Amino acid sequence: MKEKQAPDKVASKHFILKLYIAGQSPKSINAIANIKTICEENLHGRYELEVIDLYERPQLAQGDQIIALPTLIRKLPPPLRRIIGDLSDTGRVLVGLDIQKV
Amino acid sequence: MPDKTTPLQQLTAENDELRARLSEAEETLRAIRGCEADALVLSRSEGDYIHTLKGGLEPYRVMVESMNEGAVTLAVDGTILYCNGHFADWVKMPPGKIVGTSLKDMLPEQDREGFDAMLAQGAKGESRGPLTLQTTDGTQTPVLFSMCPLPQGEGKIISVIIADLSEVVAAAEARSRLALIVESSDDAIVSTTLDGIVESWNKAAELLYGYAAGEAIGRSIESLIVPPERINEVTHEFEALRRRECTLFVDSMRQRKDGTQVDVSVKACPIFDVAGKIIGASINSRDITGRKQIEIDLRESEQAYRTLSQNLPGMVYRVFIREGGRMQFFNEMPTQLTGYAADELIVGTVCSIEPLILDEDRPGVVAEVKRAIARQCAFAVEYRLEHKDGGLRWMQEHGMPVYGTDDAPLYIDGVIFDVTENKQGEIERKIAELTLQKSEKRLIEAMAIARIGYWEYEFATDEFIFNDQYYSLHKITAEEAGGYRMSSTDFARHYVYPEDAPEVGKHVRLAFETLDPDYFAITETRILSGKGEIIWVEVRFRIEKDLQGNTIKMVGVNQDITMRKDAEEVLHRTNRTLWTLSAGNLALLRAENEEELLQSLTSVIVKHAGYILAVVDYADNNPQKSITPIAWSGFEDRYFLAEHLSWADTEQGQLPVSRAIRSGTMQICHDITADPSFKPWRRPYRHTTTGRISHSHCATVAKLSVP
Repeated sequence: MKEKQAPDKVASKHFILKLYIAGQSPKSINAIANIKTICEENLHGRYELEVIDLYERPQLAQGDQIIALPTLIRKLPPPLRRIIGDLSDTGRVLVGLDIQKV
Repeated sequence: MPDKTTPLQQLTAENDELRARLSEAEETLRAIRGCEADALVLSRSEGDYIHTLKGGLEPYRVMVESMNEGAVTLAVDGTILYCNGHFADWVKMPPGKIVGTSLKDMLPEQDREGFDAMLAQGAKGESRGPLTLQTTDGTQTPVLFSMCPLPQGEGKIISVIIADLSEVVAAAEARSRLALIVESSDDAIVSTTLDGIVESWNKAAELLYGYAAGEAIGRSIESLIVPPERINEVTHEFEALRRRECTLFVDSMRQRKDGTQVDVSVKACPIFDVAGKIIGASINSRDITGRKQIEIDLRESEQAYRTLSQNLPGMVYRVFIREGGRMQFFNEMPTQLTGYAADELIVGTVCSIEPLILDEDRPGVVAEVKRAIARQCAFAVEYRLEHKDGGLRWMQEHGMPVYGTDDAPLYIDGVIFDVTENKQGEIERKIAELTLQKSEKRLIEAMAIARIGYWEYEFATDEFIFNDQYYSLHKITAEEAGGYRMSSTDFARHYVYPEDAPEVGKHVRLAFETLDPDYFAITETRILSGKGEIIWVEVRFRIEKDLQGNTIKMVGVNQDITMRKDAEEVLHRTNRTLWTLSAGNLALLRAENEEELLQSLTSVIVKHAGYILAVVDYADNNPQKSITPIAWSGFEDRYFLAEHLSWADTEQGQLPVSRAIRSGTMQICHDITADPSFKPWRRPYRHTTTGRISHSHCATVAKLSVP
């Protein structure tokens, strides 16, 4: 366990993620399912995921300058990263979020 | 230490940031172009909104099309712009034909105004209300309309969700029906929480306990109607409810608002919610004051019956036919009557006195009881019972079978009396009766031997009453005479000798008229037997008078004295013969010629021998063969002499005297009225005897009747 933790500092950090979705649009629904799986498999116990439905509260889009939906934002650790899409390409998501594959 | 950065460093940093932002923008653009996003956040003057790209609305469409409510989009005038499949099914029209029509047309007349108002409200904000949807075939469905304006419609397009209320309405109706049943129930029905707080209180509860529903709801049931001494009972009741048990109806007391107590029967049941959890109690109480009164009355009547039973001098019992003839006694008499205590009378499992009945009496008793059960009637039997002391007791049992609704016999109710004393009295009476019968028989025999008959005559009914011996005097039976009673007219016609009738009548008259209460008379008279024979009787009788001194009855006996009379007659005849002979001898001595002698003799015959006529005729030998009387005596002499008589064998010569002269034999005529030869002559006497006393002389004597 110690060996695995050592190489990357990011890997041991706490992640705060936000997923902006548009109601029940097919990609939003897929994105929720995909990120849940990726987080559970790679960030188990050290992440917070907030799902924000802009359909209900479109004004929340401004804070994170959301343009297209669904969008996943990595709030922490910095720097802020964003990935647009249904997050079905797990490899790209891991790279985008700078997470070492377990 | 202040952060000192060179312009180059600043520019480099700015450049890095711009690159990053550009890369981000490019990535976003790429994602949009690559169809990785299906919604965009767009800005308008009113603020941001979400624009869904193709495919993004699919789930909503599926949801709307498959939901169980009707979904409709309306223009402000009520024109249908869109409807889902469920709505089309409701109104039974294809969706293509629905769009463009007015929803108003699908509502009954009375709902349209309400719909308009709702629509106007729905264009500005949310509005909802119940309406009725009417389909093309006329069926109506209660529905709930929920309206709200569509954001992109700018107040001109309204979305409507229509929910079917049929089940809700039906459930509400069922609820109100149940509520009505509860309200109209005669039982007080109260529902409470599990803590006993009243939640509902029906009309009957108001009437029974005096609290209005408004007063009772929200208060604890214990504080309202449970008397302090019954609190425990209610606590147990609620414990049972928590165990999900219903209590049975239990007789108890509850308290009214005015403090008075009332007899009630209470039953409590738990109330469950849809999930099966106990949420409260339903308590049902019933006023049983009337029933309690009836119970008291019943107890009193039972007591009265018990007292009566105890005072009866017999065993009052009930036989349970269906329990093998178990016999239950209702008083203490069995011990007194049988000598056995109640528990001693138990034979096997059956309590009965049957085994005590004398063996020879038992079959008769059993048969009689069986017969009564079969005929559904009462019975009365007498039998002998073996007392514990070894003695026999006579019992008289009266019973009556009792039947169930199916006509099958259930019980025999009855009473058994000890009639031993009566029985002994009866035996003594029977002995006395037998003695009396024996002495009566002897008397009858004595009367028969003495040839005495008994009779009574009642003046009031003008009837004679005779006994068998009386009839035997007449040589007939009561049956032949037509009974023991006979009117005086019938008696006189059939049984009184005609010549003696005036004498009999005279005696009856004297008996009636006499003032002497001890009047007694003896007379002799002739009566006729049933066959017309003459019988001499001696009649002895006395009379009975009423308080006013009127004779009401003659009571007498007749004794047959024919034999004595016959003997008297023989004596009389012998005397007469002697007298006649003596007088004849005297006449013979005194007579100087034949004519004088014959005249004297006829005179003697009439005077002493009891004949009314005596004649001596002379037969002439002339051609007329005439007959000439030469001596005669008696009351009819002249008349007799006037006749022309002949002894010739002609029509005129057929008289006894003529026949006697011709034949020389004695001619006797017992009844000249029946003798055809006497037809030309009518005579007042009945019997004649004629005989030839010499070749030419013939004598005739005549009597009135045969003695």
